[in-house]
Amino acid sequence: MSNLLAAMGRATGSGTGPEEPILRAVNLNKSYFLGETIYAVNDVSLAVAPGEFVVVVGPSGCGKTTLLSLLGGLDRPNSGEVILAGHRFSKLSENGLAQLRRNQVGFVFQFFNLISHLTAMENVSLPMRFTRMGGRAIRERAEQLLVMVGLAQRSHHLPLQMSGGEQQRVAIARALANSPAVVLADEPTGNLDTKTKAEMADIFLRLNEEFKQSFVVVSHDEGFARYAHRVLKMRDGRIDAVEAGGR
Amino acid sequence: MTQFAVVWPLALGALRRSWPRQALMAAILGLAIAAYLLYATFLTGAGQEARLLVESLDLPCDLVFLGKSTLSQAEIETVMRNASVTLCETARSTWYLTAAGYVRVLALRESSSLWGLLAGPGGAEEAPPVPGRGEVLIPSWAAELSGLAVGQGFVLSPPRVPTAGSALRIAGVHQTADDLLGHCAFTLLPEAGPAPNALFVWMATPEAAAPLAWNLEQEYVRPGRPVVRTMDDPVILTAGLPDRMARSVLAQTYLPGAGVMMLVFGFCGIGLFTTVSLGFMDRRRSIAILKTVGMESAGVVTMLAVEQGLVAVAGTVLGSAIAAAAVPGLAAYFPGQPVLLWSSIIKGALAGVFVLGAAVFVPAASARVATVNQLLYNLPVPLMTRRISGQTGE
Repeated sequence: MSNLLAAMGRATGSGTGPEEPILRAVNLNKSYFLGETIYAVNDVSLAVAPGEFVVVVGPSGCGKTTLLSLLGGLDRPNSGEVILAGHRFSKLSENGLAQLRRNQVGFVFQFFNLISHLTAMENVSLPMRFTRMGGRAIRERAEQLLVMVGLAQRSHHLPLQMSGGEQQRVAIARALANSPAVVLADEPTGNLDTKTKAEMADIFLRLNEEFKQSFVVVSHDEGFARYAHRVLKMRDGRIDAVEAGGR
Repeated sequence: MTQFAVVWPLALGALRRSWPRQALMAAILGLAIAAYLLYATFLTGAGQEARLLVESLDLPCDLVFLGKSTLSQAEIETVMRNASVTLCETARSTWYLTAAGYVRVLALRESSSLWGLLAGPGGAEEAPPVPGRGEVLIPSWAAELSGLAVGQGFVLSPPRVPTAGSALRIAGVHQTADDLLGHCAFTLLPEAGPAPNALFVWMATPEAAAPLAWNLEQEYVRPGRPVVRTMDDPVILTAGLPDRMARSVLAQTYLPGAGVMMLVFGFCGIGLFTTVSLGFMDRRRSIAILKTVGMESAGVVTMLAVEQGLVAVAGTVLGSAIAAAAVPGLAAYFPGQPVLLWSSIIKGALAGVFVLGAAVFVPAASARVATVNQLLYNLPVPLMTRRISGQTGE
């Protein structure tokens, strides 16, 4: 585990200290025209410190997923700016964004989004294959990550041969592959049963406590708030309130 | 470089997962390439045969019609009755590559009066025996050149009807003085074989031949079929070099086929474009995931290109195999000796790559410029319209 800790040594903050934010959003706006203009994200600003665990909650359709997409460079805002590890998204091309996602962002989705014809090991290795890491180093790190999420015995299974909880663990291992500055999780427990939800939340908590991994988690479930340092409540595309989390 | 190294396993995995669709694409492409190869094969063969024919155009008869003659025996008799012809014969005339070089083989009916015009070796008066099925009479010059004697095999390349085999037994040697017949080998035309492709008409004078030629051409030769007349026809004789004449023959017979080929490739292109586009729609999510974890635009385009490149290779192999298998069977129904050239296969493969490249261009360009969210949440993507359905982001 110490090797893994060293590999993940990017995030070192206490989580609540006055350090420079690793992720910052300034006056973000995103609207869609579907017969009428719908403001999915309306003038949102926020900052995430290194090692901080932020949970975004709110009712369905309030813009949580869109906000997360903008923070991760999966989509472009109509206006505003996102700055991640010193990189301004507005200055980056699509390839530049891809490189930034590869090196600085880990994603965990509600529906896992694993490549169905790749094994767990191959899915976890995928982000590393786009870097200059050697094959052996990739294998070793993927094995370490699978051990960390408790899937050492399932490394050669395809996603369809695994349960939802196991697939989500693979997705978490994949998100951590390149030691990202921040992990963005979109309803990571939304498709899981109660027991698996708790296991998944424990993994997130452990990663945050032991490795100071920064998280921004979008969740429908306000129960997630007890793991967070801060809880952002969204309504109608705006951050309605900011509350302290349960830690 | 890392982008390119990772696309191979991804492309192979995607091909494995969607193999029915990919197999359909390879089959469509294979059929198009097979059609092209058959066209090119017979075009090349006909070109060679036409050139050889024109080069050897030193015939004692007044008229030679080549191509698929529609003349029945009754019609031939009508021609003979109505025109003052001394001899009128149909034959299957084909050039083969043999141990003695290119030899024209005339397949005659057993009842043909041409058999009686042949002379034995050494100019003997007695005609050589009519060959049986699977046998051939070869000219004495061919026997000398090849060193073959009676009883040995005379190999024709490539094998095709009506000879019913690649090696015919030499039944005899003839040494006919006639310029045309003296240069030909003779075999038996099976009754149930392909239609004769040559009509020889001997006339008393060239002047007498002219109206008959016009009449034959108008009445019996199908439009588009090559018609070659003798040295008595000044139009042909002054037409130019053999190659030019050969091109003229090809233009009459094969160039209309170019339009058909364009239609075939056009339909295949539309089919492939539709299939590739549908495949892209199915793969939006996986492409989105790959872009999410850091695959760059070049990687996405390369991955799609590798997939379709492998399909193109499979289609080319399939098309070549179909063409190779179909050539002997179709040889009976098309004029000209089929010649399958590597250059034709390479051109076919390049055409396939071009068609697939064109088919994959729009989806690849679309995948390259689309944002992850557009792909992931089924939003409209650039270059490809798509109704908004499902999740559009909160």
